[in-house]
Amino acid sequence: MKTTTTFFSGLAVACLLLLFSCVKEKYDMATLVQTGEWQPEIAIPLIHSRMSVEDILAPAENDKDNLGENSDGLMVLIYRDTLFSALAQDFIPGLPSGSILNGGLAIGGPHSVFLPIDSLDLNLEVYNQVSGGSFYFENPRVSVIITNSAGIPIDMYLVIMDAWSPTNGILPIELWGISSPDSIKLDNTIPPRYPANPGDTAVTVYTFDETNSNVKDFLQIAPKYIFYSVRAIVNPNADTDPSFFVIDTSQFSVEVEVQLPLHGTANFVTLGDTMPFELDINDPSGSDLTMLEATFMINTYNGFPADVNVQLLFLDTINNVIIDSLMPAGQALILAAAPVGPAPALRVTSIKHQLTEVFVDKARLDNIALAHKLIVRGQVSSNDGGATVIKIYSDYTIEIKLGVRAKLQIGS
Amino acid sequence: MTRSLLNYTFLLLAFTLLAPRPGAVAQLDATLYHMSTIPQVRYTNPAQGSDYTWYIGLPAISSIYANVHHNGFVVEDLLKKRADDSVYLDMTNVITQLGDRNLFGFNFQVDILAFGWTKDDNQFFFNITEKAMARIRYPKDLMVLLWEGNGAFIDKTVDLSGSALRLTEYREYAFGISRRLNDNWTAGVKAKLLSGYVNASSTITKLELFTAPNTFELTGTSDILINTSAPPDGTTFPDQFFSLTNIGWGLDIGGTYQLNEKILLSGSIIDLGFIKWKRNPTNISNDLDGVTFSGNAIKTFSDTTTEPFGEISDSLLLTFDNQLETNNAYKDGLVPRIYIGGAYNINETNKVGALFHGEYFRGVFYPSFTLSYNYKLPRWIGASASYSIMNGSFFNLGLGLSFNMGPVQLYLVSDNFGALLNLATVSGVPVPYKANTMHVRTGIGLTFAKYEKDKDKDGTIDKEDECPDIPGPEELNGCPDTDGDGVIDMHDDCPDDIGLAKNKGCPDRDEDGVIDKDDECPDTPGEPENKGCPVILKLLDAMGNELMSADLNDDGFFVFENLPDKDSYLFELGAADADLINEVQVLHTLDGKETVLTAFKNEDGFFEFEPETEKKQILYLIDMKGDTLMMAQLNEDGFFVFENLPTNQNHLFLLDGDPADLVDDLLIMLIDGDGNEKIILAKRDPNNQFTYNYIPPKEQELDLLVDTDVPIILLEEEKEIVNTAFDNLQFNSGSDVISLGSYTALQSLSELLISKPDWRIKLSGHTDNVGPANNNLLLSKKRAEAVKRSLLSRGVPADRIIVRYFGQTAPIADNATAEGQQTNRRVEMLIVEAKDFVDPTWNRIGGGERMTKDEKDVVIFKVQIVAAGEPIYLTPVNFKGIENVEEYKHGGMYKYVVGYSRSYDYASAVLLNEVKRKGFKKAFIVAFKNGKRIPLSEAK
Repeated sequence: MKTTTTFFSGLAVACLLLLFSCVKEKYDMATLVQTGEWQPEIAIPLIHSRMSVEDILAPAENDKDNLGENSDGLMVLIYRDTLFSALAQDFIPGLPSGSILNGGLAIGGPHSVFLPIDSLDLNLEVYNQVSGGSFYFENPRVSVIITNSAGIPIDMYLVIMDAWSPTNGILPIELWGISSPDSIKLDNTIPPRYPANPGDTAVTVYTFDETNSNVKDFLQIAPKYIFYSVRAIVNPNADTDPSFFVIDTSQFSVEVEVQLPLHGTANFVTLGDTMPFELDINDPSGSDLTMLEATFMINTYNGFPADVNVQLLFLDTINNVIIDSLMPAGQALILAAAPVGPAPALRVTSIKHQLTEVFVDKARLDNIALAHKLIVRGQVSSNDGGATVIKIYSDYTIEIKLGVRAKLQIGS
Repeated sequence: MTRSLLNYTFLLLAFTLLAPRPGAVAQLDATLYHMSTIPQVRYTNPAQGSDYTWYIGLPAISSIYANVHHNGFVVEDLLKKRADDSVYLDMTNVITQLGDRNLFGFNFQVDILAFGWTKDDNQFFFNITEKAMARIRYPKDLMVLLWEGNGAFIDKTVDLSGSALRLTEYREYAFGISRRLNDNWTAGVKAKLLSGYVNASSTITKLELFTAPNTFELTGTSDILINTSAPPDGTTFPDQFFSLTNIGWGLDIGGTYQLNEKILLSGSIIDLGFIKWKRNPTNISNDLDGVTFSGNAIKTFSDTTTEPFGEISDSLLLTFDNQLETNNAYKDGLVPRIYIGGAYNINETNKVGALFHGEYFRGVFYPSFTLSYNYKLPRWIGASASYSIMNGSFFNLGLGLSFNMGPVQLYLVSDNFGALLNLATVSGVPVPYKANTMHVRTGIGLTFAKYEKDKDKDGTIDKEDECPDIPGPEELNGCPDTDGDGVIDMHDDCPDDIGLAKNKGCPDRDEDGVIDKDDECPDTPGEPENKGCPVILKLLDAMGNELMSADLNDDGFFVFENLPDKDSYLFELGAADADLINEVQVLHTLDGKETVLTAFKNEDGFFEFEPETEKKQILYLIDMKGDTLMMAQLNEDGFFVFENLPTNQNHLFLLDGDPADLVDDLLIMLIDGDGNEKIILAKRDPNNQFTYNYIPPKEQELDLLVDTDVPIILLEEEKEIVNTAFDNLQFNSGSDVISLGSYTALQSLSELLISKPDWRIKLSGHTDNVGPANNNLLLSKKRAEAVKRSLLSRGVPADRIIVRYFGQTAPIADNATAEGQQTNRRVEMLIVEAKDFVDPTWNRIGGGERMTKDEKDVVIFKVQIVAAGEPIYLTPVNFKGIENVEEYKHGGMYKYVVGYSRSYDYASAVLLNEVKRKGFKKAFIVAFKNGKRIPLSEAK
């Protein structure tokens, strides 16, 4: 038995020696290195968005108040502000303060009240965002809305109503045939001039349009502000109607509303926006990942009857020096306009698809990686270089699909 | 994006580390399959017999079994070194090595306890075995995706369907039985109770990713189910060992069939069954029906609170996440294997085997093939060497060894021994360097009392018993020998009669080589072809009584001495094939003078010799009217000699006597006025007259002797008959009498010719150069005609036999030696087409329509040849087989129409060319219309 044990022990040792004598190569995985040959190419979709007019013009929720549409779906930009608003007892002379006045009120008159010149910031974003080019709207309107909850007739006159833009200066509003602004009476004689019962409100709308005024030119200058001055005449006929009344909550206000139907022309209207930007092309986790090159595939499906030229500019943080652009200098991503049907609807008849391929090499990627801001600059022109009148309907969309095919390197 | 890439890295590294994992093993056991010296052979086929009555495996070391196999790539393909010894992964090389679907697997098994025993025809065996195994099937697309990214699949689908994973560990309690059902069949079965420990199993029915062109939108489709089961945290080893929570059942079945004493066929199916996993089960499914990720909304890129590419990655995962998780018990099938083998026992110690084997995993069968050689020294050593094709590799050399030292057996088996001799270490762990398969089974056990079968109970075990089913003495390898002549019955054609081994145990009293039971003359030596009897020619008297007899001598003569002086003799031939023989030659010696008599068979089957009356054969020279002009007799050299007869003109002869019926031509010697001798050949015509056509030297240039016979291409068996007839054809010395031994072959040749009506045989007689040339020419003629007569007498039509003779003019060997002379004395046999030159279009118009030569208003194009001076006799020979030749005389010339056609093109391109090819180079075409010749230009 001892011999057997010795034999097998010797055999086992011999086998182990044989086994390890047959090792042809030794690898120490602690020395495993990346040679840089691992260069996978990743192709992924980055963006898929379908944007309506509302998404473009009112990206923020509080911007949506400025958008509306007509019954036929034509989009309308609406800007509204209050010119004047006060309790009756605060601006009607001779009224005892703090009293509730009812029937049989004798207020005498007429009382003329001048409101000081003030500026109205219409906050017309559509103008603010435009930094170049030209456009005009067909059939714009400016409406003055008079609200009166006091039981007393009050006439309103526009003493001053001037549009001002940084580039065009002042342009007064005109009613055809009336030269003096002071003569512009906001005719609120249309019943009800004033409410018949306490608690009611009489609303009168007076509209300036291209049939009765120069409002088209007035707005064409892309006004930043509208200056105004209003004169109110209380009880202009000095009536002593026993039904007059004023209560403590009786209020008088004048509002102005600008309506810009998206119907007109645009010629290289330049829009721009700046947003923060940070491209993390190198792996911050330390896995030695590098992006060697990238090809962006930009698919656009333009449902708008307008050409759009887009350029993306990358800026640094300090002085906004342009360090690169997505498209080569002097070029832009051109989104051709969708064709439209006949007037008066001028509806888009088909979607315009366009594929643009943009290759960015390592040097430019490194530039872009330094950027911290991105300027999106677009120029919009209606069909035929801005010569054709177009209409923008609420169901128009532009769809964008952006994919990137990036060649990466893992290791060096 | 970064996170996704990190995921790629993780998956890739996980896989590459898993592939060469040293602890991984598999269970093929191809080399073991034919090693009956190792009891564990039953793990491959429960019907396989063990050589031992008892075996007991030592706990934990009786069978340790490890295998890792990977048909995708080997370590050498993956790991490379740089100059500074640092290591890198050569994934480009790996991808080139991969197949569409690749399988990695490992198995590890340890027998905790195993034993078996034999009882009569039954063998029982039991084992408790711990088993761990893994199978990972992955497609090449996965590696390409990881290494090259989905950029390599733009507008293509990454197809990962069919990928599969199975990791499991379980214990097997098995009990089996093998039983010999009859002399041929043995069946075996093993039932197994399985206790599962841990399992992960996936079914990836569908997993596809499509990358759209231009947009790079990703569309995913999946049908995935992953089941897992594992013991709860904190489970102790005893808990696990004795737990029977995850229960399963398994079955091995097998059989062997002893085809004959040398060949054993076998087959088995191993690991049928499943385990039902109940402990902590988790079922995760993810089904997607073509879900597309198109990208994020644009505003996510202007939202400074998020990281846009991270959002992409998250959105991508969210899009493709349709995961459903449940906790239901599930069944997971084992990975069944199949073995189909055959073994050939060269002798007691050597055996060769072939094995087809493979395993079935998740809908795919993985086959492999092994050839093996086995050596066995009973009670001491067993060895096997094998060659396998498996796991995508054609180079797997296996080795198996078992040593028995008393009851202790040590064994080691590897299906790819080369892998063990060619290792690499990865961080110190040995792994196969260049091999796709590394496999080893080894162990130590105890074996007792080798069991040897002895079906006939004669004391000689079956493996050493040449007659395992019939009792027999050991000195005769267990076989009986009834007559005791030393030739065992199975090899003894006469098991009850004593005989020599060279006669297969049969007696041969006259020792003529024909055993008595086949010998019609058992006490008289004879020829085997004559059923052991001598060939004897008996001389009979008129009453039929035998007067004397003679044997056939080596020259083919029956030699009688002092033959009674009689006018005629009657003989009876005593030979087995006497009915095939028509004539015999008797050498009669009287007073030292030898005379050859030829006796011919009569109607009663006896052979008669009647001395020929001196029948002078006379050849008459006649004119066209039949009047005799001259006559000559046959001289001693066999020629008819005419003196003062011009040799340069035609002659017509008439032969008086029977031979005219048998010969086609005659050799005639003409001696002109100047004493010049010339031998001419006169051919027999249909009127049984012999014509000699003098052909001027210029005309002879027409090569009228061109042989246009078309040889038949013979089948092998036909060629054998002809060659045998040729080889066996012998003539009695100096004569044209065919030797008796030639008749059997000539009979076969005759039967063949009769069965082939489209054939003719051309017999060409030749001689050596011994003696006068004229004699040799005559002898060659006679011998060829003798063969012809022999064939005629056996029913071959005369028109199917062509006789040619060349005398000594066409030797095929050197006449300076006796051997060469022997070779030159021959009658060649050539099988040719039966139809001589008779073109089926002959005498026809183009298109095959029969025509009437005298059709009115039809132009007939005739092919003519012209003979100036003397006419050409209208025999087929003269016209080279052209039949229906029309002769007419015009302008002092003889003209012969040899063909006509209504088509000039046919007459010119076919008929005229054919006639010229036959040698009539001056043939031409004329045109006739309404019986009158017209110019060819007008006719065309």
